[in-house]
Amino acid sequence: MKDISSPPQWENAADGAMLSAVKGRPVPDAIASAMVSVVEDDASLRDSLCVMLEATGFSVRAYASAEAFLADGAPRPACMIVDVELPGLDGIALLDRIGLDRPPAILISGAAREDLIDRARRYASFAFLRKPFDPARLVSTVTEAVNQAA
Amino acid sequence: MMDDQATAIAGALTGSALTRTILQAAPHAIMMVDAAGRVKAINESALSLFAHAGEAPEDLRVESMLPEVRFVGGPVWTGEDGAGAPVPLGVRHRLTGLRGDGRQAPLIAVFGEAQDETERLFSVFVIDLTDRAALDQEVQSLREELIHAGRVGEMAEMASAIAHEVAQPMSAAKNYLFALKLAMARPQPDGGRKLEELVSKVDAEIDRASGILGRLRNFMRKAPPTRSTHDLNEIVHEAAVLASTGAARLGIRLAFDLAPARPKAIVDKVQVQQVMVNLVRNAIDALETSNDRLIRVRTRDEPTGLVVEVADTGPGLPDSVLARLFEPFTTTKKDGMGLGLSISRRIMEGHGGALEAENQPGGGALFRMRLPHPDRTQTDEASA
Repeated sequence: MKDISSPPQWENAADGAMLSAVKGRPVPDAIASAMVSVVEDDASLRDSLCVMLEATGFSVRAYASAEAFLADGAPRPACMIVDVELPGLDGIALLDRIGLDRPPAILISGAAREDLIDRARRYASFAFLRKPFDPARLVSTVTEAVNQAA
Repeated sequence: MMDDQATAIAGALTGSALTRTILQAAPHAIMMVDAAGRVKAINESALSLFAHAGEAPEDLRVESMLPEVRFVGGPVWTGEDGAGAPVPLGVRHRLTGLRGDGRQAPLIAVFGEAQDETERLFSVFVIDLTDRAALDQEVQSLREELIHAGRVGEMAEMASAIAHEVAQPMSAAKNYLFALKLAMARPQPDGGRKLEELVSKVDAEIDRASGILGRLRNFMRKAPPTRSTHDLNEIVHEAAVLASTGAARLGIRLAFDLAPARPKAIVDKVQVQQVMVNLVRNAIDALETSNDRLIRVRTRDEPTGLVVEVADTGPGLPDSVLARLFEPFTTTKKDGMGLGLSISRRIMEGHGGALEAENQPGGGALFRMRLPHPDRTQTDEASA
């Protein structure tokens, strides 16, 4: 059971999956092969997220925009990583569009404005991470999200 | 005028109490010297300007006070140009004097002649310009401060976009490094090619972050203004890219139409880029409410001079704003000080150019920077 007083962004999560990932031990198969969708407009950051998550054992589908994600019609992923600042429909609008039945979503943002960050924190259905984030924390958060969804 | 001076001096010499009082109290330095340059009479202002502490008036020599002038039967020029030629009387000369405290002083001197009963005498009137020069310098330095403050202000408004833009490559680099660590712990069936690929991706991301910081650093640099020859297209393009940091995320496109002949301009690069950044930032703000979000940047080489245009597809400028657009504290922005455009216009005028604004027939605002052709511009190198 989660402590409801713990911050929704999970910034203090110490997690076994993170450690095992760093040491190169694969996370358990059922979780690791789970599909993760990445929606990020920055080409390099998108690529780096794919490389990192695939190296950790996840399957990844990547999209450069919210519109591209919505148009894809692929099966529901186990977890989503969504950039807040997207051209066109932004990350928060995308989560709204998908509705309540969405998979656990991790919002990421490089914004410096506190009001935008607070808004993203409130909207993140699973966690919010600020760029540049600790990749190990992202992996552990994704693992946790996939666990929860399973 | 010569007669007036002569009269006044004659009066002083003959002891008229009134004239003496006037001369003594005059804020300008006044001396009477003989044909050999010996000081015969001197007022308080001249003493405090030229005398060392405790130096007696009779020890003062014109040559040591005004090194550009000697007295040989009257004032003549020293130095190479026209040495020995008489100094025209009754005319203002800009000279460099040597003050009693040892410092040089910019000053204006007027020499006159007065015939006493017994000998030829010369009057020397001196206006010390030190304070005025200091004031000019102060104004110049305040102007530079203002321009720099404008630059800092532009950047402050962009700070969050820039922070975001640096966070992207940092984040990507960290992700690649994480993958690299995982890969290094495993056997390398491809002979390490995968590792190399990841390392070069990290490298590219660090370069991307450095590029943003480099452009920022160049722009923020507080250097004394210097004009030199630049490729106009290059400085315009570089500034537009800096100013539009993060604009793509807002769906704003930037289109360049740059003069193919790559015209050269003699400008202070950072200052002209400051104007560009100001115009592009304004255009980005103007596009907030528009569906079509395009900024066109054009450079042209026209017979009358060089032209840079920044046009947007925003709502255009209301007539009430257009009339006062370049006045300080005119702003349509919530957080703006309204100094950007007034500083920008000063910068352009300081370059012998202009900054104009109009609404385009098809909608949207257009700003036009004008610069003179290089052959009509003075460089610092050439004028120094």
